[in-house]
Amino acid sequence: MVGFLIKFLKTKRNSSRFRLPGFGLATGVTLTYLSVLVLIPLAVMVLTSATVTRHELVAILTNPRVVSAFRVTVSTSIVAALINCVFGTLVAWVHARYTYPGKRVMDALIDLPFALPTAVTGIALTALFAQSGWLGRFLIPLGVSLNYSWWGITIALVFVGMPFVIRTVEPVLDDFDKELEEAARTLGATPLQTFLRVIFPLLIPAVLTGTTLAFARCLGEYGSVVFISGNMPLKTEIVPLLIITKLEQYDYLGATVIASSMLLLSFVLLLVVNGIQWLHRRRLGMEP
Amino acid sequence: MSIEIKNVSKQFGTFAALKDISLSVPTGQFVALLGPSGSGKTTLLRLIAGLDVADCGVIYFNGQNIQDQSARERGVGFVFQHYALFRHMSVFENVAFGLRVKPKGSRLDDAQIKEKVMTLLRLVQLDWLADRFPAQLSGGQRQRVALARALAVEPKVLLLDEPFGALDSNIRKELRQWLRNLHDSLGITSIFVTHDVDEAMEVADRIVVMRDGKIEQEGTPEEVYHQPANAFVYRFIGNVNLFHGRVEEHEARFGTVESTGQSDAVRAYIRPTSMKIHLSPDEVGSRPFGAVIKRLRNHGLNVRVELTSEWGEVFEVAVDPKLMDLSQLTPGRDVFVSVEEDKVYYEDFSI
Repeated sequence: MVGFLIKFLKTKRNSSRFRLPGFGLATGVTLTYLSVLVLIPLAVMVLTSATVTRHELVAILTNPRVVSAFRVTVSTSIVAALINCVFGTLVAWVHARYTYPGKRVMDALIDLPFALPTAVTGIALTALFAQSGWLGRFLIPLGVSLNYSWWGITIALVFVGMPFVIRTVEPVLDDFDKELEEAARTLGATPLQTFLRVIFPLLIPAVLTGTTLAFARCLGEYGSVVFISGNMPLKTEIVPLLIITKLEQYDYLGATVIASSMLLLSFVLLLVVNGIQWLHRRRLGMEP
Repeated sequence: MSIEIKNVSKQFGTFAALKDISLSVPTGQFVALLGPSGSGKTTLLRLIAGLDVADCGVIYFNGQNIQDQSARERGVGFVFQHYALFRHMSVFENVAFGLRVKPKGSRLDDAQIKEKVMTLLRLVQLDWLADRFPAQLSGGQRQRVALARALAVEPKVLLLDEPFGALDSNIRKELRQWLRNLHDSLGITSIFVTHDVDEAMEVADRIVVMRDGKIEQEGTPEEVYHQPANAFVYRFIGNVNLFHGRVEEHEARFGTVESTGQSDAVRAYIRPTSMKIHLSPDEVGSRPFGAVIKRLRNHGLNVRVELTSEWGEVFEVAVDPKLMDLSQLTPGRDVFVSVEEDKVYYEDFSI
């Protein structure tokens, strides 16, 4: 892999006539950094799980508890990412286009889920929806109990994934060429037509990237979910928690197999989205 | 469609972009708004299009007040300096945009749209690029797509903001003439913004020279060139030499004349083509003065001679190689320069 990367970079290097000095050093540092932090740990994990026989692998992955955990994790992550996709785009729009009182405070609030320890988020949300909590005391009499439920997990994931869509769409809106909107106006487009036909199509790549990042983040989220989910096997147990549980039971093989499948899932997902983006850009003639 | 602008002003913060502008453009004319950057020409164009709103003043289209109409109701075609093409749409879809966003009742069906777009693309000679995307086109091609897109909605007025500003000089020249022909064949009213004097001279029926949010002069290219309204217009249209002088006894004096007592500074502008070089003082010419040749520069058809006057100011004189033997004009040689008095413009000078 590393050898392939070096070869790839070398061909890139020869194709451009001018480059800033320090290319060799910078590339070396970059590759080492990525290898130590990402490639080597992941490789060890994959290699460990590769010692498992096919029979064992099927047994681990078809275990009802594992299947259920995957189902919960993936379904809540998809729904949370989609909610963030819609509302994150909306927030980014308002935030980039309008000035309103308290905009700077809002700016800091948007980044809060990035900075807040996820356990704090989990405890806060659980307290909020508990029987005596600020929202729980109104919702529970109505029969809506979010704690220890699928929707509770989704809410925690929406919170955690919120900044991704906002922060990827916002810069695109900030740099949006005003002349495009003006051109649409002089051509007779209504504001709605301008948004749907001109602005939104140009936002799609950023929305897609943000949503993917939010989804990937949700897949791996642990801290905020474990408090609100109640961790009931077959019901509200998520994959990251299952991995921890297996480790605590000294079932290292089971843990690495599940972890490797998660890795594969995330990797394939990111690859697909990048592929879509690349195809899109190529269709528009922006990529050779 | 005729355009009438009455007492229009526009302020951006503390900056007055337009100060009490009045202008009328008759139907079918091709008008250039010419001026240095910051003169308010683009602002005026945007006000006509309805992209900005005037602080005060009224704009009429065919005698009808259109102040309350938005950009989409005014029916103007606007071509942006950087084209503003929709990069996620093919050339075809870009041109079709204005037709597709029409309200249901007046919208053409797909076959009609296709026919109309292809006709427009043939008009701008780009029908073979219909399926390409803007990123795959050259600057000149993008420019023509932008023009076709603006023309698709059949505007009565075409507004162009620095239409050739971002193009190579040879493509500019080609497109200029092409645009002029297009304007004539469509019979619409066009206004374009430029800071390029040659471009305005070559293409426009009338030139509006602007400076600091005001109109300095309005007239045909010939009028603006030969009868400039003031020193600014004279200086802006074509090359000029600047001479510093003093006002003495109600007369402007330049050069080595002795300065006595109180004097006001005065500046004179003289075109390189309004001066003549003589090898000896007894040749004809009014009030010649002495100068030394610094160097010669070739400017295609004529030659520019750079000289230093006897009082030390550097200036240029255009010499027609057919009328003068260039081998006589060697650097360092002392010569005499005469001026056609009626082609001198004074600034800050009143008698």
